[in-house]
Amino acid sequence: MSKLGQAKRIIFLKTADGQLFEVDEPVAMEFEIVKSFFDENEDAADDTVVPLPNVSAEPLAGIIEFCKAHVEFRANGAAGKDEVKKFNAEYIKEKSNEQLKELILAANYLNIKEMLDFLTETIANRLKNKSVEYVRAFFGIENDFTPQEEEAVRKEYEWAFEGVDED
Amino acid sequence: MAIIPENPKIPRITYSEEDNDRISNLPIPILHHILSSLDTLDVIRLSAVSRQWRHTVVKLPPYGGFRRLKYLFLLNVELPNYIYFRIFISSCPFLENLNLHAIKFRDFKTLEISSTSLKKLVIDNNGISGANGDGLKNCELRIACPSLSSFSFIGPLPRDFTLQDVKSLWNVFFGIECLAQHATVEECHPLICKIFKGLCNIKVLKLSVHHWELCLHILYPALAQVQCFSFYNLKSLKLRMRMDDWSMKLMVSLLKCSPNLEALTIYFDRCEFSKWEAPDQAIPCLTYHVKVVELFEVNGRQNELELVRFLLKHGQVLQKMSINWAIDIKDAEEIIPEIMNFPKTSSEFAFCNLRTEPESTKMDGNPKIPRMMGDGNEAGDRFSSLPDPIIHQILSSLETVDVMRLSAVSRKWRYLWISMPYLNLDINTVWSDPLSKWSIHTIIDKFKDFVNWILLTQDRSIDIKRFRLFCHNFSDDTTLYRWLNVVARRNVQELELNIISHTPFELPRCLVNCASLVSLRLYFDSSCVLKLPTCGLSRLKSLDLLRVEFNDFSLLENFISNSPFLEDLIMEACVFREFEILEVSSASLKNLCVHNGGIHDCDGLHNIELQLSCPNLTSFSFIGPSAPDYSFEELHSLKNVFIHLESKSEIPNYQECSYEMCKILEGVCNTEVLKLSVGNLPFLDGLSVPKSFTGAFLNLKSLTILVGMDERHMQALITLLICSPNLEALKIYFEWCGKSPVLPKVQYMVGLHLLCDVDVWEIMDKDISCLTYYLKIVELFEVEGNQNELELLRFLLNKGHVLQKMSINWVRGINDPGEIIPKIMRFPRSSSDVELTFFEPKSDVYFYDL
Repeated sequence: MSKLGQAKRIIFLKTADGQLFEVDEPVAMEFEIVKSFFDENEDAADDTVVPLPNVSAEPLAGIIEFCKAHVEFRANGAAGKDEVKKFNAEYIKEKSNEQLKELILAANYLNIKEMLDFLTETIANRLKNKSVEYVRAFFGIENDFTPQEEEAVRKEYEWAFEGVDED
Repeated sequence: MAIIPENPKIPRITYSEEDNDRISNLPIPILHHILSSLDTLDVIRLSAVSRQWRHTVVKLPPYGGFRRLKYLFLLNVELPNYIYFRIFISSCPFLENLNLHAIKFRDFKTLEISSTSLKKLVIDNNGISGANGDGLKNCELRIACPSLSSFSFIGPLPRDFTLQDVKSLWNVFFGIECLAQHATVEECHPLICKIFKGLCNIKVLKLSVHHWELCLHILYPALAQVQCFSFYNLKSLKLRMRMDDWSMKLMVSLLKCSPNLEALTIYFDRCEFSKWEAPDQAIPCLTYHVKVVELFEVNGRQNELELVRFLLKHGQVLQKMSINWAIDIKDAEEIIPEIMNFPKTSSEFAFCNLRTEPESTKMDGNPKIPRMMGDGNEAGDRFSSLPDPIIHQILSSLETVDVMRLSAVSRKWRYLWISMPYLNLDINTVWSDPLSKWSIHTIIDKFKDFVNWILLTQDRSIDIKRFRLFCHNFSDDTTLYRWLNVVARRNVQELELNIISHTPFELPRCLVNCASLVSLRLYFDSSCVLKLPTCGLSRLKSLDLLRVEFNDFSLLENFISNSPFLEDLIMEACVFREFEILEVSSASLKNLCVHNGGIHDCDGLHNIELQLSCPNLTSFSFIGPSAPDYSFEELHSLKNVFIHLESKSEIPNYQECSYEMCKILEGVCNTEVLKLSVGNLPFLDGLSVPKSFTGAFLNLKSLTILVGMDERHMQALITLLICSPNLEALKIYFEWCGKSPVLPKVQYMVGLHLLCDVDVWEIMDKDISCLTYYLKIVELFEVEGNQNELELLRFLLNKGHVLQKMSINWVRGINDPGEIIPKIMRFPRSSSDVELTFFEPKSDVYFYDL
């Protein structure tokens, strides 16, 4: 299935904050939502702009970077190899928790299974063996327990609170 | 002039009327305390929530505002003096956000808010009766805020309404409850016009009008005069409206005055309705700009359908329309085809998103006022608002004990673990360093208690997606089987068992009968007998076995062929006790992986014939010793094959090996990708003898092969190239002495004949089809630059007419590649644009990783 010689098709994506992205077709097709958009509209014009009202520019740029790399890995038959792991580790290293959350929400909306799996896994790794306070701060969750209630919950699962990492 | 506090230096807060109880006395010192630190106060939130506290009178300091106040939120507060309030607001130089909820504006003549800093203003006076003249009905509203960007107003229409100097305003929500007291329709008409003229620059408008009976007669005629004003910048319009003809007409008028509108959202109210017919005329915004339409609480009534038809007909650039049915709609399925049949003018029209789930019920808040979607302004906890499945997925890889700990995070998370469909229970990680506290038997008992308690406490109506368990299994203990029983009844889909086995394990009846089970992983810490049932698993798709011992070949064969959905079968380090034949025949199987390397006694595959018959197999990976015989049938779908045959310690029989190799290769000859390593076995010799191999790899695109450097191996390689006329990529891994080239962990014996110096040989000067037409990429690994390698390089460069890339990876620790490179560069090339690259590896390269 050599695609050499064929003109590369470009897909246009418009984010919630109005930025226009030009993405190579194979990369855009990683987004299930874009793929189904074109599956349902087979006769869509080549310059159709796909609106992404729930995604802003910053996470989308990050997602495109990720998918582009992974499409290439697959084309080179490098899927599942060390190279990929190295890229993933490098990719996630620079991301703040806040950016991670944005990426998850965006990947969820765009329905990119591979990336969502990877991101949820990463988040889980950052949450492993962390204290309740850390998780609250991480997710930005307000503690709405009364002190008595929280005490009761902690008491109920007392042993689960042993040996938690320092934040 | 109203009230002047006795001591102007200390702002007094006093409480009204009857309250002499302890509660009203309590907070005074607290409030004093708060107010005494006013200079540094950024946020003040004065709210009174209980009944006794309702409408606490707040006396504002008459001399000025709070110097650094940014955010002011007042709820259920009574404000007694409109002049003080005006001065107060305009004297807070940093006030950006002002929220007034259910305020009693006692005897206000004017509510004037003028501030240069204010960005967001909310006046929500819903529910204030105004009976005693304390609402907004008799009041005049003046707003003069040049920085104001967002304004929400909910309440009765005030007597007069002046918007001055609101150039930055772009986002407005109007929820008009009823008209000002005693006002007549005639009086209101100019007022409405005035308000809308004041708003003519906004980009987002939400509009909700409750007393349509009154307001329609004002709003509609006012809006009907299109020439009066236009919302030139309006991009998004959100309406809460009824579906009678007046409301529909009003909506059409609004569209007419919004020539640049891009998004339209309508939330329908229930009511009786009179029939409406859409005007058959184009509306500028529909023709040029409206891309997204969302309808909520749709009931499928005539007027609603008429509206949909109208929008589809005139919406020439419409891209998306979503219709959210009302919760109690019964016949949505009948209406959908009707809607789908409406003529559409937009060529790009994307999808009619006809959701049948009543999502509209999620428009939370006051039932009277539809809170129509956030503006995106409110930040907050977007994360835990993720759908539960995603939260579950994020937490799915955590140990269940960790998820339980998260119960203390917040109320929403309190019972999260009880409905977690992923359970991970591992005796090694439930407690930190348990062996320092308890004996192993205590730990095993405690773990049993723990798992029992989890299974008892969890919501048993939640199906289990994945159950991962790491535990012991003893001969006189049925605990594990009881757990599996519970899990099977909760419709487990994926089951992963890591068992420290002290006794044979029997696949229990409950799992065999479990119709939900799609994936089963069974890992033993050391070889353990698995007793198979006499039938297969009805839904199983994936089976992964590690260190499992089988002792009946017909049961295994039967199990595989009677699992009708089995697609992936992995058997790693399994023991096939006293098997004569290992037979895998399955019509559904797609991936088969038999890794039996390193098992060097009679338990391995040495004496077992391998029979495969899998017409849908696409991927086959085999590591193990060479078997006495092979029978590969019907492997038509193969795309990807990896075969590594282990070296034998005794000198192999050449003829037998050649025969076996030919059988293997003929069996897999349909594959597109082939990776082949045969260690020291002289299998490839069979290929070096012309005509002993009769097959052809017509589909082969990529060949990766491990070869020795003697003539027979090279000759075999040439034979393979001749048999693969469509080959595009070739990787050759040269085997050299003293190094384990295949798997890092597997003991590898290098045959004596490879240790010797090899004869120098030459390749015949003959064209090979794949080299002439297809082979583009050649990669060579572990090259040490000896004569035979160079001969092969010369041959490939000479005959490769379409070669694009050749990369040469030197063996680690090579002495001086600089001397060899010029030699290679001088070889004549047939392809004009071949790119030659040389690499010196930094770490060992293994054939397995290629």
